[in-house]
Amino acid sequence: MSAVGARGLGAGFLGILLALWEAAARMSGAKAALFPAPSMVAGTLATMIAEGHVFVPLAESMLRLGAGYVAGLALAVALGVAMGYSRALDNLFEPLVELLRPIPKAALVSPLMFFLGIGDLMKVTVVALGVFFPILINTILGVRSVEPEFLETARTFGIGTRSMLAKIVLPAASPQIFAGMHISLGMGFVLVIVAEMISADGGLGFAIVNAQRSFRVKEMYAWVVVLALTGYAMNALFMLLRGRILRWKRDSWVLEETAAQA
Amino acid sequence: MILDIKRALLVSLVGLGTAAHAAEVAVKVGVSPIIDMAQTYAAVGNGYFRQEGLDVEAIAGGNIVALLPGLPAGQFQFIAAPIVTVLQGVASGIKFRIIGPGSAIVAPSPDISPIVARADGPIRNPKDLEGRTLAVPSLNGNLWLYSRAYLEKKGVDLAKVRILEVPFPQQFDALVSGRIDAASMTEPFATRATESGKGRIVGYPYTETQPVFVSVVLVAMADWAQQNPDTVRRFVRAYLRGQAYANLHKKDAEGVKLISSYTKLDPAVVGKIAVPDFPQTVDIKAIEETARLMVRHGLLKSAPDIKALVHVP
Repeated sequence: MSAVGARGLGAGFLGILLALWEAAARMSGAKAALFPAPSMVAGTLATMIAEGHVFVPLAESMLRLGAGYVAGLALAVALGVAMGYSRALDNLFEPLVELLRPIPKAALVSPLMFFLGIGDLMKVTVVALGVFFPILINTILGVRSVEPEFLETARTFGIGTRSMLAKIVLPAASPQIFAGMHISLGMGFVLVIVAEMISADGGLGFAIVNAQRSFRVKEMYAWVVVLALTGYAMNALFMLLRGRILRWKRDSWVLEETAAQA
Repeated sequence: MILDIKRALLVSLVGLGTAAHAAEVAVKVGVSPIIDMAQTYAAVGNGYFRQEGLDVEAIAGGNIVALLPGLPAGQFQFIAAPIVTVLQGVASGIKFRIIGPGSAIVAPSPDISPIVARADGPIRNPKDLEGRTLAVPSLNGNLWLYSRAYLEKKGVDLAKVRILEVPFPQQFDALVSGRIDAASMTEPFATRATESGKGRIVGYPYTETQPVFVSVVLVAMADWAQQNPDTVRRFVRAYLRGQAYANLHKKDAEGVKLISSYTKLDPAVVGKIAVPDFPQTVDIKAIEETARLMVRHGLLKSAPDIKALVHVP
């Protein structure tokens, strides 16, 4: 099947599902108010956008996600390279990592509120924590799987450790690191929404809870659509950037499938 | 052979027993351990529902507004729900119907829902809330609306007050830990806060804004109520007996026993709480007043016809 044909099949399937949803909603009778049709949700969404209600919460969520993501990424790559390269450091940190990693980070929102308050610092921290672990694990994996010949060659040329890590190890490990970054993107998105729902302090998460509390059902669904579209756009942007940065390693994207889930 | 006959007899006896109970209608009611629901707990505990042939199961939640979507979802059939949320649901096309009264908060203060700040904190009067955090049990709910109306009346700039949602049972801990600076509480939590010495009352959003406020009303879904008029009648009869009981025993030992049993609070504290009125009829004028306030604060586009929402089976 051609690429266009493949896309067309998927899009067509989505279209059929939407049509079924529309029909089911229109026939739902008593539960109609709880189960709005896509056409109604689209109308509500269009009104919300036109009246300027969407931009600010969206921007707030994206800024928090961005800040947390960058913080988590920087820390995870730094520690990951160190742990991947040095057995000693790995032995030091591994128990701690294995203890903290399985904790669902959404559960940390409430305890963190006591230390960090309900504002942006708490949300950015939660996102950073959630983003940290998948990137860390994949960075360690990526660093460990760097072909030993590269390191031997580097040593032969007398390249110092710092240069070697930055110019040889990091680029070699980058496809695996990007696999971790991809997972972390989804995780970070979930966490920023959850943190906003709990702390009721603006953003997309708050908007959804706010609509739910007032029984503004169509608006609630419209916000979920905003979430879906935002997630889709972020994912597409990520893949575009990854394609640019990893242009020299196209065939290594297969690593995506073996990406370590954290 | 004889063992088989004995077993068969036993099974059929048990079967008859359950068949007799099956004549009871099973319904579920949403509840929350707050003072406004004393009538529901009384009706369950005193067997009023059983006497009407109803087998009532209580579905509990800490945040009554978060629990409310369970009604249209069919998770339960009745709930004493906050009026502000009910009216918003109606405006969104959710077919709530008011089938009975709930609690009414009547001036003068003190009433059941003070705004409580930390006793050792900087907040002494409403104006001090500017630049601070106020917790309400539910966004866009009863206390959200009336706290805002009250603060506005006291000349507070609402844009400078950060309003956060914290369910009633968690408000005291959030206040003491400093997560929030003040909370719009309800009984019995409000008295618990002041009795502990850690809470200081700032004001009374309900009675200082509106002399008679209908706080919760008994609601059911329109279609279900229409299809089950007998069950609704029986439930409301038992419920109104619960209302009468709660109203009668507002300040005596029986009332304290009831309230401390379902809130799990120390009876000594419960003895000091404020109690709302539990009327026998729905006060439509008071609800219309609330609807007008909701329109003013952007919760409704227009006030609905309240009389049309009251359903008599």
